[in-house]
Amino acid sequence: MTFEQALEKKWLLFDGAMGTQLQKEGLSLGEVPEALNIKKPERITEIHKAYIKAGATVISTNTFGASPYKLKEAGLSVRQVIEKGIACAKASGAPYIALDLGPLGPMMAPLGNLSFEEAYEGYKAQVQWSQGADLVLIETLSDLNEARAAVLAVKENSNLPVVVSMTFQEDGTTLTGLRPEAFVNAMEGLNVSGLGVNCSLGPKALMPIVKKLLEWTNLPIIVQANAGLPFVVDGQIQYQEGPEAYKTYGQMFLQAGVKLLGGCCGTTPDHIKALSQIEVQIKDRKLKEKEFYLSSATSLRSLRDFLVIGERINPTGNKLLKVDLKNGLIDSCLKEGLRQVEAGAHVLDLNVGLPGIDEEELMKTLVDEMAMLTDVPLQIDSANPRVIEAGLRRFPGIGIINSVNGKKKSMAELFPLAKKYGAMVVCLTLDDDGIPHTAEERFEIASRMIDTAKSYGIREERLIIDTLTLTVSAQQKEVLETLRAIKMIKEKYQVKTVLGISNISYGMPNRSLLTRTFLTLALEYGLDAGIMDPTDQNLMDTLRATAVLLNKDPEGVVYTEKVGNYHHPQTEKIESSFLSMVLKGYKKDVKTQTDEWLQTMTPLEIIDEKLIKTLDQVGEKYQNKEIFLPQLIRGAETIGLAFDTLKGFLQRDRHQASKGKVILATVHGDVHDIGKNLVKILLENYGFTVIDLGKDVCPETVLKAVLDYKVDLLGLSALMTTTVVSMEKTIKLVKSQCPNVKIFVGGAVLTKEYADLIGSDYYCKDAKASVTVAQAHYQGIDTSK
Amino acid sequence: MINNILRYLGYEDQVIDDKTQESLNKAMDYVKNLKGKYVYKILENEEEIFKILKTSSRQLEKILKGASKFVIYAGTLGIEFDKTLRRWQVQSPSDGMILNACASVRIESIIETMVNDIEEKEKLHAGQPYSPGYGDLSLSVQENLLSYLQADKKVGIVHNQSYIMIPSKSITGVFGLFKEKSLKSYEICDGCILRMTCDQKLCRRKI
Repeated sequence: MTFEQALEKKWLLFDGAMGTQLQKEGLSLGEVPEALNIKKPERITEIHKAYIKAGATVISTNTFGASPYKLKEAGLSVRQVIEKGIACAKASGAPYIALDLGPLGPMMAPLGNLSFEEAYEGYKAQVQWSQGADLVLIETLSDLNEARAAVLAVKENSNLPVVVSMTFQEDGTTLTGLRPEAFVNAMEGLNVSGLGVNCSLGPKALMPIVKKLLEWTNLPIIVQANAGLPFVVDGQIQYQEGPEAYKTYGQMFLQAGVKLLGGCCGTTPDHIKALSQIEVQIKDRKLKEKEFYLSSATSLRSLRDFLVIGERINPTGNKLLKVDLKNGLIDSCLKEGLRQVEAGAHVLDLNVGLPGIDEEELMKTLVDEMAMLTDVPLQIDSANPRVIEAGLRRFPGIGIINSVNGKKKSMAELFPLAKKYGAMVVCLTLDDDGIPHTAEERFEIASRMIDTAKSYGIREERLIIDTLTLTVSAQQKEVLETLRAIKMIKEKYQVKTVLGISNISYGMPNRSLLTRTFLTLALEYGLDAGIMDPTDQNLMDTLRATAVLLNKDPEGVVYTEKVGNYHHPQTEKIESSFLSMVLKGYKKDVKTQTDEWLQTMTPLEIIDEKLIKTLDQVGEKYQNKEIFLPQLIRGAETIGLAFDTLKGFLQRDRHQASKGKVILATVHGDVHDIGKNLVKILLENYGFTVIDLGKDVCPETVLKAVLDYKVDLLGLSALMTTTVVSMEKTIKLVKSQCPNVKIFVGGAVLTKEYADLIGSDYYCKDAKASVTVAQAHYQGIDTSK
Repeated sequence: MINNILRYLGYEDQVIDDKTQESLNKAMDYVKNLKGKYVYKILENEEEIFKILKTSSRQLEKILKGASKFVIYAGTLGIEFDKTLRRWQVQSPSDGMILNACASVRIESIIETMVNDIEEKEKLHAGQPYSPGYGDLSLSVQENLLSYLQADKKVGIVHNQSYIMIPSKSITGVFGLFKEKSLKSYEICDGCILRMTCDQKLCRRKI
């Protein structure tokens, strides 16, 4: 009987703590427990045997710390530790062997250094030696994406079932802020065999979290609690809960519906023996109607209410995004994302498709950053299935694919991705013959797509059918066909429907009015979601008003709150001089002024005669100590809006517009990027093109960028004494290959002397100093040393 | 609080305009509600401290001299704050910069509350705290300090290969508990390699 077959029949008892047993026998602190698999395998086997004797059916291998990152420090090989660990469990006669894998060690990006790919490789390096195990137990994790990387590594490199257990704190979330329901949703999406909780808390404190898990999933749940909280008696660590108390809690867990029970820190064979004596009827606890949710790492989104999908992160028709993405910059996408979420978007559509860029890499970075910055699920939008997979793979939740269509090839490429990652998928009702004219034909395609999706194991609830908005200016007769198709589909299927709302008004005057009127009509036909512009206040208000009329906003609570008391924001005070607008941070005024100048001046003239001049005045005020750093930065930030307005016009003569290119990076090992970001904003607003490599950048990456972009001015930042070393390495490497590149450095612990010592050309004591360096550099003035 | 925040922002008596004041208020309001988390252990003898840190430091010895108990601690505003900070930085770098300064002051004040509580509980007086990276105490002892306190499990502090802590607003350190209240000694600054450039001297003296 396989582990999964056994699990169908009864609850299964796992073993208890390994580390606690080893420490009892005098494993010295600092010694790696996994080393004993090699040094004293018979001791490990004995402990396994003691647990089997106590009644455990599943034995976890002594490989919790077998991560390549952890073993590297101990000088051990992953393969050896794992193969020997499994051998020890085998020798004990264990009925089932769980390959036990803990966290990798380093924290994941974007907060830590470890990329999704590195995490995946870290688990793959362990899973590939799993022969002999019956399942993989991923445990004590707190980062959802680390868990996802682990699950994918198991699924793609073995045939073993995988059970994932996270460690929660008393406040009901993990250290990275993950909630139980978001954990469940993401794990169900990846099709794990079981999930649950372990470590950190005693059984009593885990109960509320376990109850939450039981509420949210039909999957088998594992609980491996600590034996209560540790305390110290006579220098010895002891735990609160003895075997009898532990048994009482065990009984409560099983009665509630838990299927896998075992122990964590502080538990002993006695605890496991006590659990083995529990007699309990397994509860049949299939949830009646399991609703489908989209999710991010921190929130869930039901599809009961209308879903606003923000459409604005898309270079088509957005000049600023186009220019930035071509330069590999995602800042304006991030801003656009935050703006839409603030305006009420429930999901963000991400589209970075442009010819001549590395769409896949950009999508990866954007998904990482956006998933950290916002709480909303993401919709990965691309014509390229590789890009879609890259985005879905690293998004820590359940997102949406945009989109598949009725062509065989499209379905064959995308439905497997939707299945594998548990994603929802937008289905366009078009096929090889194009977009059909009538509602009936579109319904036909939708039916075909729904059937095909089912053959891949994708249920109706995961499909959102798009009956395609055509522009009223070109195909007026077909507007109603689009809407009728919605109704027909909704009558027959449990799928959701979506439309790109804004398309309707393309080429018409007063677009906003047509768009929102179309939305009202579509809502009446049963539309569930709209890919639309949430920053269009009128459109959002119309949505909220319609919800009241269609009895979807009981007692108009939302309407009253969001629309009823809406006041137009106060207009900013009129400032006569551009300088004072900039100093006071009046962004709207700055934009209006720039638009006015554009009537009579070229963008280049505006930059040289107005913007740079004003910035110089702001800089002067800073140097004279009339304003302090945040005011200087705000000045640059405000003027940045004027630059953003001009960027779109400058596409063709960008080379003339740019004062020169500068590469910036925070050096390897350092994660502080505030200083570097300030330098960036100032340089950009002085007209330089900044290629920002980010933080924690390896010397090799810096060198590659210098060569690729053919840039001869490089800025490096390091905040700590420990990372100045890597700054020096970077300088040496770059100078050895490109002796003509000038390098300026800055950071809290640097001094002019130190900067000289490590071979840099310029030392910048603050962000403003870097502007002086860059200006002098590109005007051919050598101010170094 | 505001004075410390402005000090971090390099303030030298400039006029604070309305917008800047607004940003300051917004950021101070935000950090006010951050509770942070900390973990500490009180040890009975000095040797243990050096055993835990696996290093020696003459300046730390000097600071701890004469203490009757020893406290080793770690505190943080948590990872959620780092996300918020990123959000503010994207939306407005100047607001982000101000929030960053406010948060530094906030975590310091949380630690100060912790110190006061310990003083009260132990009926002793806390001496000057000393942290990895100060003076002759290498930043690399961060690893031993954090792992001794199980700071990753208990409060969620980890470090990277350069011993920089994540979450970013985290503080670790050691201080002695004394029978007598002493005037805090700033001698350690004089022995510090950063004494010429540091604007965050423990003593807050102007150079």
